[in-house]
Amino acid sequence: MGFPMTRVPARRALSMKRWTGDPTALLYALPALLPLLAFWIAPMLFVLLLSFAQWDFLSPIAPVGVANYEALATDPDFLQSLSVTLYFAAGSVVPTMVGGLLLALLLNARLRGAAIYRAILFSPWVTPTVAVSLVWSWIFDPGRGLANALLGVFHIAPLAWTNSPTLAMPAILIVTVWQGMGWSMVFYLVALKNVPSALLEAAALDGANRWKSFWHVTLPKISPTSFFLGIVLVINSLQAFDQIKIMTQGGPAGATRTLLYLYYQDAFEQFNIGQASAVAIFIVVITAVISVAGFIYERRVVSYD
Amino acid sequence: MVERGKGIRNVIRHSVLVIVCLIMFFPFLWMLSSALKTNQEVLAFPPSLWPTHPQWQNFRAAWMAAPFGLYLFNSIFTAGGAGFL
Repeated sequence: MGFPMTRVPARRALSMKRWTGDPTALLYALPALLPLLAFWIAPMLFVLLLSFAQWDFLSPIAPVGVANYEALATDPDFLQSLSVTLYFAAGSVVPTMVGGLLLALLLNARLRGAAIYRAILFSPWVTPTVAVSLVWSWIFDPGRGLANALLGVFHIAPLAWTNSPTLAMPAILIVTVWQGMGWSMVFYLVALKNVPSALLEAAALDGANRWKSFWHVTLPKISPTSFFLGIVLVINSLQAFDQIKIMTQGGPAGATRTLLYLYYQDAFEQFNIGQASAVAIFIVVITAVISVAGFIYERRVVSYD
Repeated sequence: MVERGKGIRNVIRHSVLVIVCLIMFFPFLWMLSSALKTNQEVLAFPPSLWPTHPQWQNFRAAWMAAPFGLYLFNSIFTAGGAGFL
């Protein structure tokens, strides 16, 4: 992943004004630019156009102005999906990062069999989400699932899990965090290895206890990794689809219908492409806003030295 | 004294890791265990941890139920193509 670990001088990187090269340079860039235009820019522009139109895949595309956006503003499903998306993002990103860091701290010692632990903890990430979601949907089955059988051992009444508006989202969050924790652990392991031991020794000499040296030395030193994981996990959470499709199909009563799932339902269940495109544009806009806000925040908090 | 403290700490570390790994790996074991059950056993409540008579022929039946050769080719072709590009 080409994530910039060093600070790029932004003013120079973004400025196009000084470009005075000869036009043949553009010709050389063409093989890279053409697929980008054809498969990324063009479809995005097409979606932008569609968001101002009405279409059902079959009849001709009819322009309707901003009607789709107006409809969104008053659509209770859309407003609900906003809070569901926020719930999902917060509920998946924070535990994935904290859990990953805790696992990394556990493993960050000379330990026999560390490679085996690492492999096992990482394994959920490399298995297809669709397949593990199926297994988890058996586990959370309200009637005969393993989760309820385990609760029964402790004499707790069976829960409705994926059939319940309040517990469906926690069930999906468990699957998502279970899958992502090992992944963020791997990043944190590398980050922890790169914390200079001289700094930790100096802190110990100055009388810092383990907690203090973790809080004041380790945490700031691994902040670039935390920042990277935060951004990627938030964007991942906006793109989560498989586990929702398999386990709840956005239900019950829209309790697990995120923005992306609303988009899917509008487009491929309601065949309301215009409306769906408006949702898609909205998703693109918030993704962009989050990324930009993240990078502004990064300059103030993340330390690279 | 220092050595001993380290040893105890490692034991704690190992036990926590083993428990966490078991929990994390459990869905995979559950998948395998379910793959070896009869339909009746899958639907039994409370579920059994491991089937009494592992139904290894389930794998054979699944393999025969769909054109897996084609699926395998499709997967390799997609993965290979995407990797190459």
